[in-house]
Amino acid sequence: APTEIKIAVVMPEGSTWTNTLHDFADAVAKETKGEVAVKIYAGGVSGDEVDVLRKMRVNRLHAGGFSGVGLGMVLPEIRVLEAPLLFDSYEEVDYVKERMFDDFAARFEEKGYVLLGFAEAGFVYLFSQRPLSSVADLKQTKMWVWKGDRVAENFLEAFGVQGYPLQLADVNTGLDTRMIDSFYSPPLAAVAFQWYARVRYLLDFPMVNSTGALLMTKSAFYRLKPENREIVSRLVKQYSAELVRLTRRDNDEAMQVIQEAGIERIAPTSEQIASFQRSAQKNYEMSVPSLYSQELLDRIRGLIAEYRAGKK
Amino acid sequence: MREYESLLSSTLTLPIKKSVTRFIKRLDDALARIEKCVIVACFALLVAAVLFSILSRNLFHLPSHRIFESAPSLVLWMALLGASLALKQRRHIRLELVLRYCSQTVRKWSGRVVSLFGAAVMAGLLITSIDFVRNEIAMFGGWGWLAIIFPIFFGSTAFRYLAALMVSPDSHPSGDSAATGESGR
Amino acid sequence: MNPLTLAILAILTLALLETPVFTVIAALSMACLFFVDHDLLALQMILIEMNRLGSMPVLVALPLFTFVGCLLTETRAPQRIMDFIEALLGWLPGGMAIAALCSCAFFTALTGASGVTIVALGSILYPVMRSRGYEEKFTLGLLTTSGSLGLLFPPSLPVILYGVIAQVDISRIFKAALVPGILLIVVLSGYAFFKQMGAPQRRPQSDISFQRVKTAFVAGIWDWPVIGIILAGVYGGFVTIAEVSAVVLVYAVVVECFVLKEVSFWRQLPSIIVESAVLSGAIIVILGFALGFTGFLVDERIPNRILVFLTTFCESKLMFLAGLNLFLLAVGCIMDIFSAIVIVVPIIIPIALSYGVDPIHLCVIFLVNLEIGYSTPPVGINLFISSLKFEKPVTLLYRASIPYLLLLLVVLVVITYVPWLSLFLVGS
Ligand code: NA
Ligand code: NA
Repeated sequence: APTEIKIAVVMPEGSTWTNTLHDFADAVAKETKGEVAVKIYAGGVSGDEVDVLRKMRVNRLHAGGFSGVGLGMVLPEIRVLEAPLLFDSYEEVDYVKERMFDDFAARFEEKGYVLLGFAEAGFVYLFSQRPLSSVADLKQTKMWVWKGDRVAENFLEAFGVQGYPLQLADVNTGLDTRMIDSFYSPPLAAVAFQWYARVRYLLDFPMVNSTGALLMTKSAFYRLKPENREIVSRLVKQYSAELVRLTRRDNDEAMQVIQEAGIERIAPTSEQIASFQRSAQKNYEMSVPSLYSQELLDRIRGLIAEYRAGKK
Repeated sequence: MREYESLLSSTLTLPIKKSVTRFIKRLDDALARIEKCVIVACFALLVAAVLFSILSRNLFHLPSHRIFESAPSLVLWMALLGASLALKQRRHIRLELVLRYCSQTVRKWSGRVVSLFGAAVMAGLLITSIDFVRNEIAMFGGWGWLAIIFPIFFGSTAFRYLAALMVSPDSHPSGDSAATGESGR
Repeated sequence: MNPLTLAILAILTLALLETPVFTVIAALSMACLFFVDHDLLALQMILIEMNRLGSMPVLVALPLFTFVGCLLTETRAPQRIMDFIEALLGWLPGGMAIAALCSCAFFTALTGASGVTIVALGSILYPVMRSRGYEEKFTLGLLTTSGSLGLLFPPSLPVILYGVIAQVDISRIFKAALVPGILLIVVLSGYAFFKQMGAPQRRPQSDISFQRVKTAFVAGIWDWPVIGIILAGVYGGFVTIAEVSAVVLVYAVVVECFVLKEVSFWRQLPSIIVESAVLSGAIIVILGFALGFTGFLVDERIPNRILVFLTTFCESKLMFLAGLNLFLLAVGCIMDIFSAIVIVVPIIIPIALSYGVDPIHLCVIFLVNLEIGYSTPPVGINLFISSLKFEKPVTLLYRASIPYLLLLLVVLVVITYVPWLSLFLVGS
C-alpha cells in the first residue's frame, strides 16, 4: 500500500488552493510511481486550524495549509511577516521570503514541523460601510476581528480601531445587523465570503501582507523514503510558487469585481498615511519581544531596505 | 444463576456488602453535591460573562475579547457535569425498544451487563482524555487546563456506571415539573 | 467475520439492552477508529472533535434558553400565554395547535437549533395543549416535528452557513426557501385543523370576544416583553442569539422572582439551574460524541464513497434527486445540521450541478431533508430530545411523529420535483 500524506485545508473544494493541491497530489503519485498518495481534506471538514494542529500532533493528519493565525500557534515569530506596513509590493515579499526560508524552516524543525512552502492570502485592505477619509473616521468604526487572532487585535489596537471579535461565519450577519460596520481582508476573501456586497467603501491602502504556509509533521515527513522525500520537497516548492502566482491573479480579479460592484476606493490622505506609519511603529514596539525579537525584525527590514536600494 | 445469587446473599458476606454499598452511595452523593455547586457557579459566571460583553460593547464601546471567548468552554463544563448527574438520576436517553417485553430477571442482568460495558467504555476514554489534556497543555500552556473537564467527566461516569451495580438510582418524580428529586419539594 | 463487524454487532445489541445513547455512540466511534489502523492514538479523534463543542458560540444559547423554559414552567406564564392565544384563535378548530406550530417555527428560526425549541417551548406548550383536550400522541408529534420547520426562515444560522460554504447569496436562499417553508407550515396546520374537526370529543368552539382578548392580554402583560426582547435583539443588531438568551433569562428571573414573586430566588433557582444543566447536558454530550463519530466518517471519506455509489446508479436527474433525498434523510438523522453542511455540501454540489440541478433549489432540498431527518426514527435527535423532555419512551415518539413525517415527506417530494416553488421568487 502507498504511504499516505493526509493534508487538510480550510479553503473549499474548487478554490485555487484545492485545485493546486490536487495537481500536486497527481504529480506526487506520478513521480513516486504510486508509492506516496496525497489525500486532501478540504473545506474545513477536519475543523479549523487549531483542530488540524491537534490532529497532526496525534498523527491523524500529516500536513496542513495554514494562515498566519495557525502558523503563529506553532511559531509566534513567523508573524513578523505580518507586521503592518512592512511590505509595499509582491516583489519585496518574494525577496524576503526567499532569503528567510531556511531560517524559518530551521525554527519550525525545532518545533517538530517541516516547512514545506510559503503561500499567501494577499494584501489586506480595510472595507467599511462608512467613509474612511480621515483618521477620526477610522476610530469611529466597529471593525470585525477574527476571533482568537491576537495579532490582528494588537494591530487594530495600535491603529486606535475597536475590534469586535466574531467567527468567520458570523461576519455577514454582523454586517447586516450593524453589529460591525467594517472588516479587514484581502480582496479575494471579501469576494469569496460575499462580505464586499455589504460595504460601500474601501480604503485603498495595503495594510498587511497576509501570509500562509504548508506545514508537515516531522514524523510523517521522515517516514517517507529519502528519494520520495526529495520528490515531495521539490514538487511542493514548485506548486507553492504556482499557488502564490494564482492567488495574486485571483486577488487582482477580486479587486475588479469589487470595483464593478460600485464600491468606492478611497485614497488615503497624507495625514492618514503619516498616522498609519506612527501606529505601525507603535505596533512593532508592542510586538517586541512578546511575538518576535528586535533582531529578527531588524533583519527583515534590512532585507527590504537592501531590495529597495538594489532597485534604484 | 438464581440459586447462586440467593446463596451469595445468604452468606456472611452480607454485612460487608452492605457497608460497601453505603460507602459508595455516600461517595456518589458527595460527588453530586460538588457537581451541583460547580454547575451553579458556572451558570452564574456564564450569564455574567455574556451580560458583561453586551454592556461593554453597547454602552462603553469596548469589545471584550477574552471574556466572551470563554463562554462556550463554560457551557462545555456545565453540560458535561450535567450529563454526569443525568447518569446518577438515570435520565439519559436510551432506546427503549425491547426490554419492556422481557422478564424482571432479564432486565436485571442486562442492567448489569450494560453497567459493566458503560464503565469499560468510559474508562477507556478516561485514559485517552488524559493524553488529550497533556497535549492541550503543551499547545496552549495554562489555558490547556480547561480540558481537565474531560477526564473528570469520564472518571465520574465510569464510577457511576460501576456504582449502579450496587446502588439503586435516585428516584425522579415524573411529570413536567422542573425541579428534580433533591429540590426539597 | 472481521473484528470490527463483530464489535459493531455487539455494541448494537447492547444498545437494544438500553445502554444510554451517548455511551453507544462513544463505543461505536472507539471501535471504528481503533480497527481502521489498530492505533490507540486514533481514539484522540473523539476528544478533539468533542472539544470543538467548546468553540461553538451557538451552543451558549442552549442551556440558557433551557433554563428560561424550566423557570417558566414553574410559573403560571404558560397558562397566561395560552389563554391569550385561545382567546384569539379559540374559534378555529386546531387553532391552538396552529399557534404552537408557528411559535415553534419562529423560535427555531432564531436559534437555528430545533432541539432548543423542544426544550424551551415544549415544556410550556405541552401541558397547555393537553389541558385543551389535544391527544397525547398528536401533541407529542406536533412538538417534536414542527420545531425544525423554522430552519428555513431568516435569520436561521444553518442557511447562512450553507451560503458561505456553497458560495450562494444568502438573501437569495432565504427568498427561495420562503414559499417551501410556508407550504410546510400550511400543510401541517391543515392536518391539525382536520384532525380537530373530526375529533369526537371536540370541545365547543367559543366565539371571539374583544373583551376576552383584552383581559387575557393584560393578564400576561409581564410575559410579552420576552417576545419583544427576542425580536429587538436579533433584528436590532445589539446582540447575538447567545446574548439574546442571556437578556431574556435576566428579564425572566427579575420578573418571576421579584415582580410576580412566583419563584423563590434562593430556594428554587439553584435546583432549576441544575435541572437545566442536566437536560442540556444529556443533549450536548450526545452531540459531542456524534461529532466524534463524524470525525471518523470524514477521515474514511464515507460520505464521498456513498455519493459516488449513488451516481453509478442514477442515470436521469429524476432518479438522482430521489437517491439524493434518501441519502440526505439518512444524513439528517445521524449528523447534526452544522456538521452535515460542512461535510456533505461540498461533495454534493459538483455532482448535483452535473445533473443540472439549480444550486438554490439544491439548497432548499438539502435543508428540508435535514429538517425531516431530525425527527426520523430510529435515531433522529429530536425524538430523543422529546423523549427526555416529556419523559416518554422513544417508541411512543416514533409512533407520534409518523403522521407528521408522512406529510412532510409528501411536501418534500413536491418541493423536489417542482423546482418552480423554490425558484420563482428569486427568478432563476
Ligand atoms: Na470532522
Ligand atoms: Na440531525
